Amino acid sequence: MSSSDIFDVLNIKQKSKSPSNDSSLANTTSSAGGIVTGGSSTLTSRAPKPQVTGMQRELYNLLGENQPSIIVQPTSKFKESLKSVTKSSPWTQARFKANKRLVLRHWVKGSKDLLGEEPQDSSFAKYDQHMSLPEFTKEEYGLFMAEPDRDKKEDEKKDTEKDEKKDAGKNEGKKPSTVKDDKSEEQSKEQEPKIDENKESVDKVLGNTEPKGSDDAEEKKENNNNTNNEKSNEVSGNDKKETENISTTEQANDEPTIADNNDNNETPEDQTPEDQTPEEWTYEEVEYLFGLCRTYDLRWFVICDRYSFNDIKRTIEELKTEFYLVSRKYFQSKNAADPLLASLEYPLEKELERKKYLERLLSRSAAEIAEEEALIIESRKFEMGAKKMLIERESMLRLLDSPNSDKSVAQHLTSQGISQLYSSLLADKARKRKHDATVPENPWMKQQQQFVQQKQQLQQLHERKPDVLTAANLSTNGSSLSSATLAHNIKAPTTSSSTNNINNDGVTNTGSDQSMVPPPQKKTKKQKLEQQTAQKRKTEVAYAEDLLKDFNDEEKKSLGISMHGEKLTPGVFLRSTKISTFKPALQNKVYSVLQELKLPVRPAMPSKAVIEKQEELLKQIVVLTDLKKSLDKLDAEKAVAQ
Amino acid sequence: MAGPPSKRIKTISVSRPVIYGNTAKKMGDTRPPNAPAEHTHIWTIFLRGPQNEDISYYIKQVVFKLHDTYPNSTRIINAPPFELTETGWGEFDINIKIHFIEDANEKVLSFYHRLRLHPYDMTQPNQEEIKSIFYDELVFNEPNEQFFQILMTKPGNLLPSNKTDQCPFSKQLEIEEIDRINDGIKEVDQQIEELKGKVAGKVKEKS
Repeated sequence: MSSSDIFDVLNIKQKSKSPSNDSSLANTTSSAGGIVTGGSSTLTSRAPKPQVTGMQRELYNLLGENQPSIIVQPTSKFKESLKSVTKSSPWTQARFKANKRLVLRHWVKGSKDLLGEEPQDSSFAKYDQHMSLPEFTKEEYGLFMAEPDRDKKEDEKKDTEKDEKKDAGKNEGKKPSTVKDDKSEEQSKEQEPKIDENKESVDKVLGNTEPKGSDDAEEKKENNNNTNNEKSNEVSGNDKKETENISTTEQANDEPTIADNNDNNETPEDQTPEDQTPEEWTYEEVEYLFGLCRTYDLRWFVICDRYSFNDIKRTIEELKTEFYLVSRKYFQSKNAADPLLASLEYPLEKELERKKYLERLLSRSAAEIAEEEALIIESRKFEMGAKKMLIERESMLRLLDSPNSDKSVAQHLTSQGISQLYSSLLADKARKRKHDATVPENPWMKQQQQFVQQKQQLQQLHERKPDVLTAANLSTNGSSLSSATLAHNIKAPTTSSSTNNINNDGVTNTGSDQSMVPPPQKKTKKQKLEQQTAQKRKTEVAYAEDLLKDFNDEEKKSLGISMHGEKLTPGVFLRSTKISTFKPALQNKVYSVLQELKLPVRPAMPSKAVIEKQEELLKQIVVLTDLKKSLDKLDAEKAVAQ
Repeated sequence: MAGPPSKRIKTISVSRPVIYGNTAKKMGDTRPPNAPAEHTHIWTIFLRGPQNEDISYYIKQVVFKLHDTYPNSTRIINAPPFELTETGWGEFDINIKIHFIEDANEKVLSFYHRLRLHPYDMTQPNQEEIKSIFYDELVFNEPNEQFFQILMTKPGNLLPSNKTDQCPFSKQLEIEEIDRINDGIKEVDQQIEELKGKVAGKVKEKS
């Protein structure tokens, strides 16, 4: 159906515009929708219209003559699909050893062939580190625990009794039943500190080598025990899966079993733990404790929680004390001069106190906490007030201590010197003002200022480029000047010395070092002027010096000639009129001070030297009056505070 | 002579000491013939060198402007001694204007002197002559070259080394003056230190 058909049905006469249209109308009416394409084609020929087909075309036809002035074309497109040239890299789900026994799978980059079938070590395996705690047999334990007093003494008099201690150590070492035994134990201990992965192999080595040379039956037994333990571990390891790490479980298993074995071996000689008072520590219990420590990596709360040795109740402090005591004694027997021995001291009293404090802190009631908070806020307020005061005072004192300008003016004679002085003075002023402004310090304000400054700098950096160009274009003073300005502009941000100092004249009002750069034209003018004046002044000084070179100081004095660097207006004046005057209020105060000093307001003889002295005096008097004022203010504040 | 006459020599100043002031005496029987009846004092105002030396080589004329009640109150003195004697009964400010020589190309220097007829110092009640004399220095800052050469012809800055009754203004007095001021500075410094300590103490107390 075309629009013309509808017109036809509704008996609406179409506005005839062109004969071709009429013919087409006739055509369509006759075909009655049969040849739709013909009608639509004529329509499209009349006005440039996008070629549409299908359903859309039908819809366009429905519009008829009332064609939309703007044809909305669907422009929204989906995001283009990613076209990557590279081949996708293969990932494989490879097996890896989560720990010694457990094997899991994870996704690894790389093909299956590359990785191989063997499960690899986890890349995190290297982080699985454990403490290496000392191991010792019952004999050793008995040995180094036997002389607690001496140890302590040695501990105290480490420096003086070093030699003696060494001897003691030797004796200690020789006491056991056989030298061999001792050696092997030492060896094992030396191996001990190595990381746990090696542990197993070391044990194996020991198990293999020791029996060969050892004559002692007991030793053999022990080694057998060791090997037995290893075997039993392999068997029982599966049962102990709940513990995270195999190496630790092995050790944990190792120790108690050894202890048990030893226990079995030596029960006739030793008392059973049950006979003892709970405070006494047996070797077995110590062994058990060290085992736990190894298992849980000195996580004392866990250790304390798991601790169950013959129903003896021990606090965490007791465990710690014992652990540190034993380890200290152990290492002392190893090497008495070990500098790390001091770190094994366990201050029981302090720990208890610390805990007490913590408990008190944690057991505060809500009301107490609230009160504390309020007090803190209150104290902050006071601090703020005090700080404000202090800053005010400081600025006042700084004002009083500000450097007096009795230095020679020679260094400020050149244009550079003057600009330097100017900038430094301005900076000084800015600093002082800033000081006042920052009383209630607002960090965010500061931040914001910083941002603003940075932004300005950035803008200037951008502006600088066009500036340079315009300078090059506009400069009428010849190519040499324009090139000079160019060079200057380029230099300006990099050099901080001479050029920048000259710049500072125009720059300092913004505060930052290399901020606003005045338009180059103006700057060069200013610069030129400065240079000219400097040049002039130089020649003047030279000329004056030339004039005066025939006179010596005495003659100069008698002629009344003096050189001065100041910029005084030329002309004649009376010396006495150059005595400085102040604001009326201050002037009165100065006069009264002068009166106190019994000095005349106007010196009786205002010669050059006298006037200079007088000026010095007046300056000091002003300082004095300032101080008096501030003191009065302080007193008043004090009175108010009270 | 190099350069135009108006060119000034920069960074140099030349000073010349002068003394100005007045002396006054009560008129007794010896009255000047034309003095009005109500005038009680005869006084002299002057401007001269400290040792009465010649100052006319750089001063052309001195104008004393008297009180308006005087007949033709502007008195011009064209030649040394630059002084003026009058009679009167009251004290007033006299305006002194110094005109320098043509070559100096300087402006007129004007200042005031309060005429003194009566002794303020009552310790010496029967003073014959009242004196109110001031020392000052004329400072020619950056004089032009011509004038500079003229000034250089005479060592005008010389002062007597010792005080005399005739001329109290001397090197001795200058040294005394400096000593006095130095003492003053010392005392003020001491006070400043004291006050500083006090302020610091107060500040500490506060904080």
